[in-house]
Amino acid sequence: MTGRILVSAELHKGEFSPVVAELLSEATKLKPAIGSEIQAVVLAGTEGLPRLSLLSEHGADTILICRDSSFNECKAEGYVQVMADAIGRYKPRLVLAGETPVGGQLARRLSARLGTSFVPDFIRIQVIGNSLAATRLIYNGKVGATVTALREPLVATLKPGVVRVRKPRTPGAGKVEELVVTPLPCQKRVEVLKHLAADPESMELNQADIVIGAGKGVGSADCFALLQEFARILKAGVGGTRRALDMGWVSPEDLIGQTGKIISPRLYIAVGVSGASHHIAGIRDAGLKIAINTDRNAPIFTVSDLGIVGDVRQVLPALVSAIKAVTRDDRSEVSKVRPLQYPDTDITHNTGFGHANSGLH
Amino acid sequence: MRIAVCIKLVPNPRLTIELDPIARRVKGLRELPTVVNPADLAALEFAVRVKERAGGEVIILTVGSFVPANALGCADIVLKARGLRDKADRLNSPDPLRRCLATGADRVVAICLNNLRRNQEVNSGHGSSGLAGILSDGFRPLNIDSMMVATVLAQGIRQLGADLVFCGDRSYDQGNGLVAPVIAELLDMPLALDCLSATAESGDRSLLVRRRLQRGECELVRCMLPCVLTATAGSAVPRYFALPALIDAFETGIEALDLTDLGLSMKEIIGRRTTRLLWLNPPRPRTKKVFIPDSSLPPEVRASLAMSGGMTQIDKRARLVEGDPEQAAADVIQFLQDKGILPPE
Repeated sequence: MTGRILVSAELHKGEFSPVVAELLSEATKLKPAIGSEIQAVVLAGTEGLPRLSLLSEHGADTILICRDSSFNECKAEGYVQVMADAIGRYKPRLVLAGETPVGGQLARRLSARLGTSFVPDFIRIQVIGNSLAATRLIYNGKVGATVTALREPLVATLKPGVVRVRKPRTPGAGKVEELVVTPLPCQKRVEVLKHLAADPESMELNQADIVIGAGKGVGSADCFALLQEFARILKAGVGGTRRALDMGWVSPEDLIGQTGKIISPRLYIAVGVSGASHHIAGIRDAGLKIAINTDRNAPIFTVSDLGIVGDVRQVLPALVSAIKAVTRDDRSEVSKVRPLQYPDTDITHNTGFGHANSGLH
Repeated sequence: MRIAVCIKLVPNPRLTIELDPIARRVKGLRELPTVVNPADLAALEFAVRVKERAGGEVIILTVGSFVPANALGCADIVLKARGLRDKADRLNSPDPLRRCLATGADRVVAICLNNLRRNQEVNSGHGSSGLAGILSDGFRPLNIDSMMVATVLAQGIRQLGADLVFCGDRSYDQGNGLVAPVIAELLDMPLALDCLSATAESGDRSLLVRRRLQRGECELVRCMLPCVLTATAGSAVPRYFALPALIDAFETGIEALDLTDLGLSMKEIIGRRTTRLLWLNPPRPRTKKVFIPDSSLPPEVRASLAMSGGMTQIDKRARLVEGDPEQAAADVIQFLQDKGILPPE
């Protein structure tokens, strides 16, 4: 019994979300068993669309597009209605979406509206007998469960970053079709008032695009305050090595290395870091790496793209003033080192003994 | 304002889960101590905060099969069902639902899926399975899936006439995350996922909600009431409650409702089932490529390679800049501009 596979090609800031490529890879793997055709559904408001052939390169046979200005405001409700109509028309056996804020909500509301089976974060989908079965993890990853779908289509979501993207040898046909649906007028029951950009200071290091790592070479609290100023201008997260943790500049959550966080930002700037192998293990997946160190034989230079041999205390002020000139930043005062705030207590911590949270909760 | 909070009792997340592969279920599920799902605790905290600012009552709804206390030999909860009352010594029991009452909820409504006779005491501490996993109707295990539970909860909320519904985003055990979206669909309410804060606006017809999006971004939305909000575990710290509050909580009964009280029939609910569990297996970790250093290298080199995952082998000499700090700074800026991280002049 063959049927179609519908993939929700969600957009995020004008580009296809990375999970879409993963979904299409999975759909291509399942195509021999389940489907005759892979359809990618693109729902967009009035913003610009990325190159649609990206979808066919990853295996989409048909690309269904629906654009309507009401999607600018009413994403969730509008999307559900359009997808439900598309499913009614094309009758796929499997509907795939990414486990993202938009995709997850879409998939669940869709399965509620159609009264059909839903599986989150699937690991594997197979055909058992006449029906589809999906394997997923329950009990927070401790147990694997395989469930069979009693209703079709099976709506399944995929966690981003789990599947390795594989482009098929022969790309899909990529026939573009307009999905003619009249969306309901936007009821405006959920009105977006403001979009708050990520705050690098409070964001987790794993999520930051740019990270600055502080090491022993930073030397003093004043220099660290300057480093924080540098981070503020670059909108970067601040982490550190074990030395920085011992000096009380960073909290244990911001430790970068094998015993701390393993990060993969777009840019990593190592300030006064020697580059011991456990720290390098924490940053090996970073994109670009810049290092500042007095020792020209420091191991950090073997793994960085640009190295500055010099004293942090001289290079950092020059860097800060240069970058202020480029970004035309007007704030001139550098405050004292911002005290660490542990989540549940108001104790600010500045001892040399690392983690001073007394455990009172 | 009537605020409903959907709560699920799950096995304590800190416990190890053992699988009985032949019988295709978790070993000793019925005997595991249950706690309130961590995400639901955050949802309850948000609900209580809204109640404090805007007034109203917080009603906890939970679905499960509740075992009569007498059967287990430990006298636990008070069941106030249709006017019948019976007290027992409860202060020593780790009753999770009572703790919710102590932290600020006003009523607890337990929707029992097994056929519980009205005048029996109900236990919600040790050994009860308020689990939408393997439930029992006394004789054989029922496999209840999330869609069925969500339908029952939606009907309960409709009957309560709630203005605002808080749920946890996912439960620890099954973790489908279906409850909130299904309630939103069935009751035609707007949905706001992953809230960080919720404040009622004056006029009581809308709510200002700060929601978490991907990668640290947030958005501020205004939701018209009635609406459904979800919270993730850890987004709010459940408040501390004093012992008198806990004692008062034990005076309050837990209302037990049957499916017939909600106007549903078991057959109707079973008809809503969409998935069936085939088998459970221990999770198979994905194979990950691990770097193996060349065994002909000297041991200290191998150790360094193994620790750094192969990075130090890459004999990449960085482009080194020495000398004047101002010149070095200008070089860095140029580098960042070339790579597109800083906007070009």
